[in-house]
Amino acid sequence: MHNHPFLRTRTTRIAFIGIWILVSGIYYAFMAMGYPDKWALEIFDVLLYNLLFSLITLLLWNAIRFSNPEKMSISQVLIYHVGLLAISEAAWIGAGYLIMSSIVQGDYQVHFMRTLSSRIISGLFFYSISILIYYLIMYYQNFRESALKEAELQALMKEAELSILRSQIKPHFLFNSLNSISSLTLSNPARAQEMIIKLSDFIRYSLAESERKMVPLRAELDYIRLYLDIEKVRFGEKLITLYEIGDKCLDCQLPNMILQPLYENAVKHGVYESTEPVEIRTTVSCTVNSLKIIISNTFDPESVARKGKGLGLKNILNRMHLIYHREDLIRIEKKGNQFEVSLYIPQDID
Amino acid sequence: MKAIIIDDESPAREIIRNYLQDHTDIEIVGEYSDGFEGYKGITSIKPDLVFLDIQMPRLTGFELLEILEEPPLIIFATAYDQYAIKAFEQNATDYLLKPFSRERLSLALEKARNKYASKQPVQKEMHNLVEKVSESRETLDRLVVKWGSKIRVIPAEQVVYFESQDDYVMIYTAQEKFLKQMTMKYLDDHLDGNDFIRIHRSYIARVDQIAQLEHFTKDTYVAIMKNGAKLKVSDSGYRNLKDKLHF
Repeated sequence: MHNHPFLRTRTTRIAFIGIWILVSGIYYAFMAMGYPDKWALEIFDVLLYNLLFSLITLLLWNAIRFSNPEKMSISQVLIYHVGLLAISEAAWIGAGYLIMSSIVQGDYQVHFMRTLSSRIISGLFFYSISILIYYLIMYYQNFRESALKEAELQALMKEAELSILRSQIKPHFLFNSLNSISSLTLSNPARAQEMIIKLSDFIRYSLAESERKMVPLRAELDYIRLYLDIEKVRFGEKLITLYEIGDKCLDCQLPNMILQPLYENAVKHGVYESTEPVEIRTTVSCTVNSLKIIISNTFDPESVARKGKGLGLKNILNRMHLIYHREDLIRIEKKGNQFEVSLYIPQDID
Repeated sequence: MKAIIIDDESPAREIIRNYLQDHTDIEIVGEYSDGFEGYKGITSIKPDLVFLDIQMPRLTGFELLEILEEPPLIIFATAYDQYAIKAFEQNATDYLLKPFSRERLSLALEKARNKYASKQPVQKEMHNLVEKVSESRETLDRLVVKWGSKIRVIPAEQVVYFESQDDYVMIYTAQEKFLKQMTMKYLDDHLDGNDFIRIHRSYIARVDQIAQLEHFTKDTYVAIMKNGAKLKVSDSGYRNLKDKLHF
């Protein structure tokens, strides 16, 4: 009976008993129990019958909670309740009769018959109220449960969405890097080893950091340097990197792996499509409540821009929106043969 | 056999060069780091064998292949290119997946030598391959055309409209026009449906280049393009326009 909604906590138990005492009071005041001159018997009768029905009410919960009216037809619901009502009334009035007839001297049956119809009507009333309350409780519980599940689902989806939006190592990049390493093992084993270590560090970071949400800029920039160093081995002189980073900005926090897709774009649209050297410049400045990162790359004006799916940028926009609930944190500009992305990361400490 | 290597990554060219030292019958006569230079190299040197990367600046390996009139034997080398690999497999074309071993390259060379000895023209095989790759491509965002010895890469966003001319399609940009061997169906299937619309059996127009629609007769229309061209609109073309532009 621990799961019974009326008995679950001390408060509900007191409320339940209180309500039944109140009901008994009202009952006493307005109903004649058939003993016009014996007030003690009158009170005893009221208390007994009400106590009996309160027990029946408690038992009714078990009958109600395993019946799902949504899965039954209207006639089934009707038959179910008429049957249950009949059993409840019979049990209630029968038990009351047995107890009262053993207490009251003389011919109890006459008293009993006089009040039978009003007892049946009040039984119907008690039954209806109990059922109504139970259904309300059940709907409320279901509602709360589904709201809770909904919230859980939302959280899960957001988490899944974020983990998808986080950048992943592109197979094209990975296999080309491995090919460079394969080549270097023949021509320059020391550089090959250096590149294996860089590639390993790069992969390790992308595996480990996907579990953490916010990271210091220092860690992100180390990761970006690894990435660009690896690309430099592939493309040699064709990739020039420049960094202008305010020292005090290095401890600023930002969502992990949010920068890498931007560099990936810069390399893809700059270096991959160019026959001339391409410059990727990183400029970082910060104030107390904002970190500003500008990533710009030159591109070959002769190259015919491949459209790309724009997924990298879109993912970052989505992620920034999910984390900061703002749309104005990224600015993209194309000036002459230069492409520039500015990222503003709020630095509020929550 | 005279061979050239076309790859934009120097370590990738280097490893092929290194592996080829074992094969004295192969002489490397050229190395190029982008599709344009590679094309020039192939047409001027006329090598017997080409090691060809796919993802490159200016022209991809496939775009290069598309405009070659007499393609030599080609061994593709790619890191990861799902749709290309599918096309290779369907076409029984040999390809190397980077990174590849010395032995794998020897095997590819063995096949190439056999093909070379049999003197079978590879044109048909390469043509098939280009077709397969074009078919499996997602969206067509640029077109490579060649006239005489000149090559132009035209971004789809610069195209005003396409006009069918038998087995060819005339590509109109704001100022110029280019003839390319291709079908309207291929264009219809592969151009970005948000940007282009089939307005007639003979015309595909860029949506944002349509200036207005005018009555031609009581029931027929012409589309006036921003460059002044007037294109007939068919009944189904008119329906397409209506669906697209919601008028």
